[in-house]
Amino acid sequence: MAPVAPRSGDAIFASVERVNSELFTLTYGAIVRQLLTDLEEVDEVNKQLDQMGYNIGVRLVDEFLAKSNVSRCVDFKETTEVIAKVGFKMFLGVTASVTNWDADGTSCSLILEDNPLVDFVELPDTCQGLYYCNIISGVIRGALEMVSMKTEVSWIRDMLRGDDVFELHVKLLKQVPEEYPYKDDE
Amino acid sequence: MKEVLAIVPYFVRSRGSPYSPFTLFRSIERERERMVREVAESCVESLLTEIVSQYCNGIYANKPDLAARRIEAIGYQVGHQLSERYTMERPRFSDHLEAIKFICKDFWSELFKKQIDNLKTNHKGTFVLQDNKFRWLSRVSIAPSSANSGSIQDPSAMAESKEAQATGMYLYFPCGIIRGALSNLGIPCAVSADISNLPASMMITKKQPIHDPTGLSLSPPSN
Repeated sequence: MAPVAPRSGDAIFASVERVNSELFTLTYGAIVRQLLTDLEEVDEVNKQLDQMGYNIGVRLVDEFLAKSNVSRCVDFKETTEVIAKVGFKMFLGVTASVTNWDADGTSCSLILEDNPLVDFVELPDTCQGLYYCNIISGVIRGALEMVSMKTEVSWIRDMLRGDDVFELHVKLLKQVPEEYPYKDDE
Repeated sequence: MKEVLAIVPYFVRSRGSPYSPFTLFRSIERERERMVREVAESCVESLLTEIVSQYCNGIYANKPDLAARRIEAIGYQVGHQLSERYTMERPRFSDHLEAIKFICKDFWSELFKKQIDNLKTNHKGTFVLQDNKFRWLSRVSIAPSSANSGSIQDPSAMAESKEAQATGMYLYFPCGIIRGALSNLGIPCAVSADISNLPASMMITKKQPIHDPTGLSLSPPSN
């Protein structure tokens, strides 16, 4: 029997429950603001956002796999393509593109031209060190770790800092082979 | 001469319209708003889960009252901004009931795609808003034993049950949203939630003049 065909990001996005993005954007903005008040240090806020993203990614990957029908990706290249085209679309309603591959195919850039997280956002001078969207890098790191890929995700370009796009650098550190706690009966 | 001609239709239009002369511009604004974009609901749910867990287990691990205050403050901020946006093209509300009705219908619909199911008032400033299928609690379950103490009006009673406390923490966010929205509409109030009958959720909005000493026992303090 033929496996169920993977679904496109658009098809999944059309089928999931959606809410207007203002609620999401403003909620995120309010969280960042509150964290800045409570943690005081911008670096601490960056860390906290990354950690929150990581936790979310760890959970969200289940929903992603359940709804997308994607089959096992053959390599890291295919994985990042799926994240850019299906993952981003299905949750945020936008797609990213993948570029800047290095020679051995272990690091690349995800380019995001449109990002609902930053609608209405402008960083004041006092927050220049803030990676406002750090939650996204955390989500990617967390989700990839659940499919056995240890990665390092960092921001290279940020529209809130005056760049023309958002650019995320994703570097594959280690691919952990899947290990089962039990032995197969042979 | 031309300038005068330009002004005349403007007055004619504004007199014929029940709204202000800016109705035209507001309808353009409305159009823009209709094209509002969407994200998956799980994005919002993830954020909510995560702020509750970060504030309760991380930043203010042993101080649930402080954690609650922060979560409520985040909601307040969101409610304040959302109601500012959603009332942009509306005439001013004539009284408090009108404003509360707006929260029950339009505001709730924008957030949850449904209206509040039931609105009650004692005509002394307390309003009870009931949502029988509150989305943000649809995936929360609590042990039946804690259902009776599932009110967040009394934190000391709540502390005896971890589950009720966790659910209560989730409710500080929507409580904050309502308080923020009403405050933006010029109604200072205290808001608390009652979930004695999950998944039903009840919001109690107490319109509370600041000098009124008979306020609700629990009002998540303002930020």
